[in-house]
Amino acid sequence: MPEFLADPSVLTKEKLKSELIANNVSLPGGEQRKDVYVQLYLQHLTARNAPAALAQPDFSSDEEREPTPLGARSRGGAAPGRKATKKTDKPRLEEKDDLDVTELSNEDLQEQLVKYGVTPGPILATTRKIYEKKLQKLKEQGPELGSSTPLPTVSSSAENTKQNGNNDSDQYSDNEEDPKVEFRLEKREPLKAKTKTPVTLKQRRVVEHNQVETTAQLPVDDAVMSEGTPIAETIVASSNETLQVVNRVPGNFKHAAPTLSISEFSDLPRRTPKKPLMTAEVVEKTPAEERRVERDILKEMFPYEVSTPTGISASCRRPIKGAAGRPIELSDFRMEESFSSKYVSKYVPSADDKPEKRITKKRSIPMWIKILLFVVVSVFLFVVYQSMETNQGNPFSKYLGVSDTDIPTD
Amino acid sequence: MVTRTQKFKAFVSEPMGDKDVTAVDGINDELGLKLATKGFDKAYILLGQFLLLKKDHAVFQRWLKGSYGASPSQAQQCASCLMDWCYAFL
Repeated sequence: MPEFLADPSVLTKEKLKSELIANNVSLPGGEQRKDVYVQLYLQHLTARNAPAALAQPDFSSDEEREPTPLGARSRGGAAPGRKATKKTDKPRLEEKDDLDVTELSNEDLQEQLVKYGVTPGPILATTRKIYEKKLQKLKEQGPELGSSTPLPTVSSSAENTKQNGNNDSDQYSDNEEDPKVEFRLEKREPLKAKTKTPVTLKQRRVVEHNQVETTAQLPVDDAVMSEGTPIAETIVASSNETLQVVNRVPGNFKHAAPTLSISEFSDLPRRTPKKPLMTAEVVEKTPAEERRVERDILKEMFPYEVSTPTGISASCRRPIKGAAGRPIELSDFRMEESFSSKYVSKYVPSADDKPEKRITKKRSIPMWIKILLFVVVSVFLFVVYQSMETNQGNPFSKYLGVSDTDIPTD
Repeated sequence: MVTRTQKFKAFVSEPMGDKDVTAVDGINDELGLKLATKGFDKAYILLGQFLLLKKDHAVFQRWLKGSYGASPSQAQQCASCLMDWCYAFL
């Protein structure tokens, strides 16, 4: 093999073993778990490929995988996940490994995906590989999540079909019901960079879905995810892992939340309308502490922010008093009222109360005067115009020398 | 000149949004069901396939006929419907 895969987990265990043997790598005695072989593969073979990536095969493979397109990220996420959480399921893994995703037909692949509650789009030549990877990842994660794996396919498929069609209606109708759910996903989402390919969306759907499986089942959020802003797979995967392993620990989120806060906040309101059922039941237990934490942090960070769907409250830039030669006047305070509440509340709320009161009083007077002046001036102009002599000739005749006419001098 | 059906006009007159695949002219319920089971449950997915085939009428029709058993007229209607939609909105 001239090149070694950077992502050995795509191979089945048997293939990994054979590869290792072919390259004179000693195998541990007896049947081992797949990731043992994966690690061996990574250590020995991938290292030959890229000598730099040795120290921690999983992490380095994350780095290697980063640039690789499509579902590679899922591998990076999957590996640590597998490592951390796969304690059992040795026999199960072996069973699943026997099913090589690449050998499945399109229909079978679709069926397998549906089993995991994912509604794939058409599986064609172009999309097949993506779905294969997704299924593989699902399979690896599926045994871990274990218990609730038997997805109620009927309901899930029904909901999934709804995903494709009625996401918007679901999102908007259900978003208010579960604000708690929003936070959970919002946490993870802002972590993700916004520049994601649709492929990773699907991966994410899977990931999300798997998380949902742990408690209740709401696959709807998958579509929301996919429909919503793209999400970074790595972060999802890593957060996925964290969630799985330390599902109830708010510490993780506390740690994560402050870093997220800024970006998160902007995402938060944006996400709000798009959140469908989210993972309603799922989040019940978990988010309680985390929510509180997040809310506190958000309140601390942005106490005066207006919560809008887009997270953006556009308002005119307040002219800086005294800058650019602008005289500092009380009229400047007048502007505040026309601005959004954002500015009003932001800038020294208490201090502005008094000037505002005065402003309101003062404002009424000049307004009338303005109108009055305007009327007076307009009447004056009208009168002047009326009194002017009608000019028959060309006003420029003087210059053209065509004819002499009376030129109004007033 | 082929007289356009009401369905055609309705589809081409506005962005397809989340319409079902059966909203596309030429796709009846039966064909729509077949498409949906294969994953083409929304019109935009079918449009995606159309675009992937580089908006080639003939290829698209061939694909539709071959994979889903559409009749030639159905395929032709569908292709022209999608094509017109693309002209209007793409």
